[in-house]
This record gives sequence, structure tokens and C-alpha cells, in this order.
Amino acid sequence: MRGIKPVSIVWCLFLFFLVLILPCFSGCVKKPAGKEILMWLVGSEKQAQKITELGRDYYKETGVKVRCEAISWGEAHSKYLTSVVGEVTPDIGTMGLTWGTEFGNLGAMVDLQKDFPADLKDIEDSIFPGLSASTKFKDSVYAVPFDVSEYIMYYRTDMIGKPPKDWKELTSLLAELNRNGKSMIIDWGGLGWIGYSQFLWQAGGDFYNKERAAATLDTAAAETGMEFFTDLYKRYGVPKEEKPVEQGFKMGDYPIFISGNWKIKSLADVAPEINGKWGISQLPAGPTGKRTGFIGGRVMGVFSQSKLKNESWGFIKYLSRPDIQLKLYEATLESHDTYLPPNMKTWDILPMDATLKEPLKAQAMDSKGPPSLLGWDESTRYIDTAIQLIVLKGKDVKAALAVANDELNRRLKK
Amino acid sequence: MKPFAKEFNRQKWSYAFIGPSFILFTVFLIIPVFASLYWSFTQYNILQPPKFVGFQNYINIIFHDPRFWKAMINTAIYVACTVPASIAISLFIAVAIDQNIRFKNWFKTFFFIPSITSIIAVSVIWKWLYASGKYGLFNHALSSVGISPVNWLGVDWTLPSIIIMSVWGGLGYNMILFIAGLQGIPQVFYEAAEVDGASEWEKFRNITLPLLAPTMLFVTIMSIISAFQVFDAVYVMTYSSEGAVGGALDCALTIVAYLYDTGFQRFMMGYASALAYLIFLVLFVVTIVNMKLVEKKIEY
Amino acid sequence: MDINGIKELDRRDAVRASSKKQQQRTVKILVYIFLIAGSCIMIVPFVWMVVTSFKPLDEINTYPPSFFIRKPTIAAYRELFSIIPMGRYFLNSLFATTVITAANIFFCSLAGYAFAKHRFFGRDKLFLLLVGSMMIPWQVNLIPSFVIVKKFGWLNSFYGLIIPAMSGAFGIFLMRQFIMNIPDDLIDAAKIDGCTEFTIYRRVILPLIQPALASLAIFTFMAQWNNFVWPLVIIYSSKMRTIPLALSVLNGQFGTNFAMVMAGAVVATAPVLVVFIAFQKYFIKGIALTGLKA
Repeated sequence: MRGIKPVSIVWCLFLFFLVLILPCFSGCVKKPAGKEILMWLVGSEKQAQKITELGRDYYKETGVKVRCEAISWGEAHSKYLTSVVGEVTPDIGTMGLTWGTEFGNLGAMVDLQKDFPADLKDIEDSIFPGLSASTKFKDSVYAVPFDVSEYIMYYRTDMIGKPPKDWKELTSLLAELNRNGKSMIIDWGGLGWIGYSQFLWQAGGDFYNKERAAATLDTAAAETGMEFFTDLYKRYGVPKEEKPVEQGFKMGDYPIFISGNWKIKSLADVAPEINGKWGISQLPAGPTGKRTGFIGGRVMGVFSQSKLKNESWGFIKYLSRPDIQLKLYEATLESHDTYLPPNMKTWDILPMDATLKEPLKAQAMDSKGPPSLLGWDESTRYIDTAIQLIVLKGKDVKAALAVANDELNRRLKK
Repeated sequence: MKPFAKEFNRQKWSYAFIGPSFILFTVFLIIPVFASLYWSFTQYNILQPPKFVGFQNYINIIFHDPRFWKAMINTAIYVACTVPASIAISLFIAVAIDQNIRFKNWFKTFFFIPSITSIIAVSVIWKWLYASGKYGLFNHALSSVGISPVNWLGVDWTLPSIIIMSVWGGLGYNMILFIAGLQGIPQVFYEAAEVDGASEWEKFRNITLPLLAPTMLFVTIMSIISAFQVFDAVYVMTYSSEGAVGGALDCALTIVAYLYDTGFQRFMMGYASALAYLIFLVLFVVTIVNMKLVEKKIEY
Repeated sequence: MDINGIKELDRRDAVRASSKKQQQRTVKILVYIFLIAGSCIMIVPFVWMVVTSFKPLDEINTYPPSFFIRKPTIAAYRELFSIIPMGRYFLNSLFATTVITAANIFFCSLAGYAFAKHRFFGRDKLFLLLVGSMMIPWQVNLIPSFVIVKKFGWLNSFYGLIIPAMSGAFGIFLMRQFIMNIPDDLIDAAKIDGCTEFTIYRRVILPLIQPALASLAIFTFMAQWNNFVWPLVIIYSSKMRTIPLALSVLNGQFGTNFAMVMAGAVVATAPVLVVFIAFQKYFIKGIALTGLKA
């Protein structure tokens, strides 16, 4: 008796757990009755709740329920991946601008161009051209913009007066600032391809040729852009590593900086002391007269595994409407996650201060997104490396660009 | 016949004891491990079926991938610096706390607190400490004593900065293990040594260290494994808005950061799995050597 | 030896003893200084985290980070609890974590005992397999484990959260190392008394490894409470979320209400701190070990 009892305790516990487990083999995931769209939003819970609220109005219009859940940025990629593998994707997913192409090309997203060509055209015509170009992949479109984030220039009106209009004015301003131990910050993608891309475009160049058949980083324009961009670091004291932007701006050490539009909100929060003493402006024009900036944002698309494709697309169209975007804008105004609408018509009715709205809209009109092409995310690393080699290790601009160009071409052929 | 029956009986107990753990282990670890082992011989983007490519991934990694070697060297430096430093300091703390002193529990809690502090708070504070020029506390302190400021988060210093932060953050964890280990050392040994007039150092050298060997082996092996797989610290200190991890010119790219990049950012699961098995191979050799060395010592 | 000689020896002993006492005092003071200074360095980010969670909007995000509040407020906590149904998530986390911790203490110590003190066929190979399994970065096992859990139909359920984590290589390894320290004499004595293996485990082994069990409990609780990636991939409905999942979406892409994020972190940290403090009392000298083997 004594010899058996304890063993059986162990095994009983074991069996107990097995019994616990068994009922669940039948499957625990239940689908709710009725039509309900599930949308995942990369971003904050607050925005997600707002969209669920908007979904209630949508329910009244169409009888389709909408539930929006937030997922965090850092892990969104893994979450989407596993959900596709596990066949538990949401109906609508929002994601980074280039992910739509990535997932779509692997068959996980609905090709909107094929399934909803007419509606898609309406949306594409209404959003900023630079943005819509970035969502097209060959003949397919897997996602449409959910919001906009764009580059813009910030400057202290009390210290600088007028913002630099072109490269020349910028360098002469910086030279003057340098004499007083001050400089400029390039935030968000400094020492990386995003920072470089705008100077490349302003110089009249691009990453690839029109047909996307070859990389064009070996052109004179690419070189001019790179030369100017890296000189900002090498000769004009632009810091090579992360700086507390708002603080430097407030203290006047960096009375001018280039960053994303969300710094508007963050400056108001962090540096209320300088309220009214700063402004924003379009980026300085390059030798070609272009003031092109970088534009990005989140996109939304329908997953192939969705059983409610039409309804989901319906809600995406709904979220692309100016009146709805206006509501979203107003709802998130006070929160820390800025939302800028991608629809140009929304901007006509946007209740925003003109000193902010004008430059933001003008810049968005003259902006480009990342090239829409497979393996772009991988290629960016070679551009980053080239920039960092030039700035940090003093490598020759032409030679560094040539290497990057080869790598880009190699990836194009794959 | 009887000894055999007895032997069998004893083994039955042993298997019963390890049984529950091993069933879980097999289902949720061994099977996945074999799946990823298979993937390491394929080209696999997760969403489409894997394509068998033999040893191609391994060949590419070892012979055609400078990033792998860069990550390997960074990781080796990281392991070589954090593991000994962390073990030495945390052992020292554990011994200090284990003395006959007051507020023991407070000290234990304080030293453990970095392990439970939100990683966001930790990174905010450390980024402030490391910030360049007059913005950072370290540089402020350095310049006030006349040392020229260090570019802590620049290309040359990012890895050392991460190492310092990691050592700081990991002390509490090892300290707890050492304290637990110290509790198992019979007090009589120390009493006997005191009668012989042994100094504190002699007691530490001749009693504490040898009797702490199993704990030490555990801490060492676990520290090496987790240091080799460091990811979070690198991620929070070098994560850029474009989603790249590892800092400018890969100055702080570690092997698991690279694995994460290839597997989850670039959908190259086959390649990432091959990386994982190379990591395994290195760790396995290191651990076996470690065990052999320490277990030989324990046996005397 | 004459009387004077002995007196002389006594005197020397006394001097030596007093100088030793002096020395011990100095050591003790140094130890205190070291520990207090060390503690201060350790708790800085934690203090900042707590302080920030009580800051009003216009005081957060200051640079350099400030450790003082002019107008303390609990606005961040109020906002946090209004956005996130914290009660339910707290219960989810607490339930899963407690069950996992209890299961780990039991299964790991059981297996650790077998590995440390039993001789059975395949022991060393199995142990090596166990330790080896920790050397493969979990990232590559994420998707296969996910698929297995899905095949069992455990997605979005406590089963999926709990069962795969009920035992672990780390815990078994830890237990084995500590049980190895226990003298075989104790176990043999118990065997002579006619104890069964399970009684030995319960009556002899468990009481002696309390500090190790306490550390295992603390580590398991902490790891599971903060576990993020696994719940992230297997939990799909908002009702089943755990605390780290709920907190991860407080961040926007670029902007963050830091006070609220820190308030979330404080709420998430509190239970771990409680568990840590509660288990500290098990860090006591193994009573049965003193006086043995001397």
C-alpha cells in the first residue's frame, strides 16, 4: 500500500490535467453570430476605441458590426505573421506602409485592384499622390492609406526669423548658427535612408528608374543629394546620434530641426515655454527647385482569409470618407497619437490653425513614399550603410553609393 | 532476480518523477525544435510551404554573410564582458547581504528591483545617462572632473554602453540565486574555520566557493546562455524608427537581434533557423566544457 | 609552562580577539556603505517610474528626467483604468501566472530530484537534452509551438497560456543543482526508515530546498507575469488579454502619454514586488543541514 500510493498521486495529477485538457480538443475559438468585422489597428488603444465607436454609426448605416482592437507596433509584424499561419487573421488589418505589399505578395491580402477596381480608383484619386504611389505594387494594390505621417521643418521664429527656402539658405544659416555653437537636428531617420531620400528627391534623383528595372544611386543627382546630406553632418554640426530634440529646440542649441509631424503635439506638451515662438515650414528646395519630403503612414487592407471581404472593404471605404476622417481627427486631437487624414478633401474642412495646416498640406502634396517593391525593406540597409560609412568613417561618397547601387540591383533581380 | 526487480522499481519512480515534465517538454519544445531544425535546411517565408535547399543556408551564413560574423563578434564581446562581471559583482553582493547585518530584506529588494522595473523606464533613464554633450548625466559628470565627454551611443561605444546597462540590470537575478545557494552551506563549517582562526577571505575561498559550486555552475551556464541570446537590451537601446535593430553600421548587432531581423522582419525563417542552430552549436560546446570543468571540481 | 606564560597567552588571545572584532566592525561598515550606495544606483529608474506615474501632463516628458513633482495627480491612473478594463486582465494574468508557478514548483522539483539523486537509464542524456533545449533561441520555436497549440484547439484559451509553461528546463536545472547539495546520508537514512521515494521528496528534499523553491517561484512568477510574446500570438479576444498585452497598446506609434504608460508599469509591477517580498521569508538557512556532516 505504502509503495503504491505516492506514485499514483503523481499519475492521478497527471490524468487530472489530461482530463482538463480533453474538452478543449473540440476547439475554443468561437465566432460571434451575425456579421461582425474584426479590425486590428497598429497603434494605441485609444484610437482603436474611437474606431469601434465610429463602427457603431456604421452599424446603423449598414447593419454590419465593427470591432477594432489595438496591437502594438513593436510586435505587429510577428502578430500578423502568426495569425496568417494560424488562420486567425482579422478581417481588416492596418500596418506599416510597405507591409501591405509584403503580405499581399505572399497571398495573405486581397488584391483590391482586382476585386474592387472602381471604388479603389475613387480612393486613390482623393489621397495624396505620393502616398498612393507607394501602395501600388506592379498591377496590384493590397492596402490603402489609413493616415499620414510626413516630414516637416521646425524653426524658432524668435531666433531665425525666416525659414531657409533652399539648400543655399540652409547652409548659410547653419554656418551662422555654427559660429555660435548651434546647429540643426535631423530626427526620424537621421543617418538613414529616410533622411537621405528627401535630399535625393530634391536633387532630382530617385532610388530606381521609372520602370523599376534598375537602381539609380550611381547618377549625378544621387551623388549631389548624398553629398549635401552627409555634409550636413560632417561640416555643419548636425548631431550623428539621437538627441533630445524638444529639449535642444527649447534651449536654443538646435533652433531648427527636421522631423515628423507628430512633434507638433509633442512640442506643445514638452516645451510649453516656447509656445508661439516656433513655426513649421516646408523643406528647403534643392537645386531643381523641388521641396519634396518623405511621406509615410499606416495602410489598411483586407485579409484573404476574411469571410466578410465585401463588408470589410465597405468599412475601409467608410474610413476613407472626409466626414469620418474629420471625426477621427477631432477625437484624437488631445491624445498623444496624432492622426492626420490621407484624404485631400478632408484637409479642406480640417479645423486646424492655418500656420500649421498650410505647410503641412503643401508638404504632403509634394511628398513621396518609399518605393513600392519587393525586398525594399531589405535594400534600405545598404543605403543606411552607405550613409553611415560616409559620415562616420569618411568613405568617399561616390564609392559608397556605387556599392549600395550594386546591392540594390542585385536584390531587384531576385 | 531480486536486485533487478528492486532496480526496476527505483527506475519506475524516477520516470514517474520526470514524466510530467518530459511530456510537456516533448510536445511543446522537442517537436518545435525539430520543426525549426528542418526549416534550417529549407527556404521558408512562413506563409508559403518550405523549399528544401540542403546545407545552403549554413553555407551562406558561414561563407557569404559578413553581418553574421559581425554579430558573432559583438555577441562574443558581450558575453565575455557581461558574464564574468555580473557573476563577480552579484556574488559579492550576495555574500555582503548574507552577512549578519540589518535590513537584509530591504537590500535584497533594492538590488532585485531593476529586474522588475519596466524596460521602458529603464531605457529612458539610461538614454538620459548616456546622452551626448551636456544633455547626458555621465558626460556632465565626466566634464566636471575634466575628462573629455564620451560619445556613449556613437558607433564605438554603443556595445560597451549596452554591456554596462546589462550588467546593472542582471545583478539582482544572480544575487537571488547566490543567496539561495549560500543558505545551503552548513553553518558548522564556518564555525569550525573560525576555531582554526581563518580570515574572512580564507573562509570565502575555502568554504563558500567550493560549496557554492553547483549554484555557480548553474548561474554560469544560464548567464552564458542568456547573454548569448541577448535581445531586449539591444532592442531598446538601438531600435530605430525604420525598424532596424543593431545601431549604426551594425555596431551593436547581436546574433539574436540578427535572427529576429531575418526571421520576423524579412520573412526568412529558414535562414533564421539555421542561425539558431549555429547559436546552439556554439552554446552546446561551451556548456559541455563548463560542466566538465566544474563537475570535476565538485567531485574532489 | 608556568602561570605567567599562560596569562601571557590569554592576554595575546584577548588582544587578537579584540583586534579581530575591530576588523569585523570595519568590514561591516564597508559592507553597509557598499550596499546602501548600490541600492541607490539600483532603484533610480524604478523611482522615476513611480514618480512619473503621478505627474500631471505638463510635467512629464521633461528633460533631463525629473524626480520631483510639483502637482502630484492620479489622473494617469484614472485614465488608465478608464481605457483598459484592468480588473478582468488582472484576473487573467493572476490566474494563469499562479497556476503556472505552482505547477512549476511541483513538477520542476520532482524532476530535479530525480535528476540529482536517482540513477536511471538515460538520465544524463535526457538531462543534456533538457539543458540543450535552452540554447535554441525561442524565437525560432515560436511558430511551431503556436501551430501545435492551435492543433490542440487551445488558441485564445487558458489552456494555451498555461499548459505549455507548466514545467521548464530552467526550473528543472535549477532544482537539480540545489538538490545535489543535499548529502546522500540524509536520503539513505530516510530509506532505512522505510520511507518511499515520494515521502523522501516531500519530507526530506522539499524542506531543505526552500530557498531554491522560493527563487524558482519568484523567477517563474516574474517571467510569466511579464510574458508578452506568447500571449500576444495566441490570444485573440480582448477578454482573454493579460496585463502586458493590455499595456503594450498604450503606446502610439510616435507619441505616448508617458504618465499613463508608467502608471500601467507600476500597476503591472506591484504583484511581482509583492510576490518577491512574500517569498523572501523562505530565504532561511536549511535547518536540518546545520550540525550535519561536521
